Amino acid sequence: MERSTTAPESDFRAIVTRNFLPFRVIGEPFSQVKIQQSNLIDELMLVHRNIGNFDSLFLELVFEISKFLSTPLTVGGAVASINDAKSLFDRGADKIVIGRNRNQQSLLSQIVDEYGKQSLVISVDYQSDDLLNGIDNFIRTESLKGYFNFAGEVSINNISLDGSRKGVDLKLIDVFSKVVDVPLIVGSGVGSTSQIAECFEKGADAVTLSTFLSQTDQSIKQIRSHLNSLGIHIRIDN
Amino acid sequence: MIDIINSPSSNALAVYYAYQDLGINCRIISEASEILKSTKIIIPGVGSFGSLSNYLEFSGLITPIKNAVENNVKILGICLGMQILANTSEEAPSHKGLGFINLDCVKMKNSNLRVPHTGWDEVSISIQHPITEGLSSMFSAYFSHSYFLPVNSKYSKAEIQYGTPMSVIVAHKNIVGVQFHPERSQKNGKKALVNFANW
Repeated sequence: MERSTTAPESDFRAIVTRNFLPFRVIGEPFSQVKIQQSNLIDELMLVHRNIGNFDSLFLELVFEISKFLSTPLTVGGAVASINDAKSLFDRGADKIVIGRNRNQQSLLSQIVDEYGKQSLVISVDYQSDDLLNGIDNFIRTESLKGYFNFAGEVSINNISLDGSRKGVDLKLIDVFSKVVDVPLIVGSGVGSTSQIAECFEKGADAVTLSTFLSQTDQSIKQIRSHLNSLGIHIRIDN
Repeated sequence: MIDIINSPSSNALAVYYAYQDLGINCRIISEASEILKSTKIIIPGVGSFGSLSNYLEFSGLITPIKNAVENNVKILGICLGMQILANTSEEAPSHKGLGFINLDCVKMKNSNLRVPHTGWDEVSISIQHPITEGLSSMFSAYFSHSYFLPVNSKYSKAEIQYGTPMSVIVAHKNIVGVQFHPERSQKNGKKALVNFANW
């Protein structure tokens, strides 16, 4: 989701990305959220892409969305202080996601002390190049950043695969799932429902979908039904 | 009038707007004096046992809540709000809960499971209660917690299995607690909220 550069200041656009760069506008966040809620998605993750400092317009958007939402909401986008976090929780975010500031242990500690570990998702966004010295080495480097102790969930995303629909980084998921003992969210690169099933089989607890949902005519209902037929126990009806 | 206690770091607003969306009147309160007019009270979740316990004590809310319960005001505790209905929690051993449910909250042990228990899970109703009216005997709801109440036949109305059996709906007289978040559990959650309003 990003701020429009041509429309009035108050407009935001919902986008899908490729390699984490804006690729295509898919609509307006408010209505996109309503669509996914009516599709009975399990959770929504709303990430502001080009945020510098938290501004009132973004917070207003989060507030308006959370007023009608009956689906868990995770919000992020350069959360850099406990005030940023509080601003989001006060406006209805159930969880916040922190990526670039995940090595700021004092920030993570403040959030966990006040809101509980379950309120914090740590996002690990990496390029395929980051794995050149091996997956174990990459994970060791990440564990030294200390955020494993504060994360309620960890979300791992391969920037190089983002938006590609070529498939997810299953080997990394497999290794990561043996190292983290908190729920693991994976995304980036999903191109088919069977790939979603593979993520769960490798140890993911949740799979994020963005491009896959916008570019296919698969409904959430069909995806759920297909996953269950592949042996993945996921809720079918509400 | 349903009164939702506005403890710091709680998601009182989410519960408030859930009821607004359902067209059911409610308000958010934080003063002890406001509880005197309550006909129903909700203690929402999010935060920690210790900080909620402190807040209730320092805000002078414990006595009015206990008086309300004695006067048959109905109370719903959500997530942490359910846990605070109990005696104590391993999360904050030196803090007290309200003691309406004579149980202690325990920490989930990692073993083979991911903690916190986060996500949708299947609730199995063992004993029907007004809050579960119209819900399937197994229904999906959204959870986000690291501590839980063990199953006790005196109080437990519904359970989940997450490594170990956990009580996710407890009730005693005019008190009910739900471990899941009805304000984020879509259709099933809305039904539970309506049921509490109608109870």
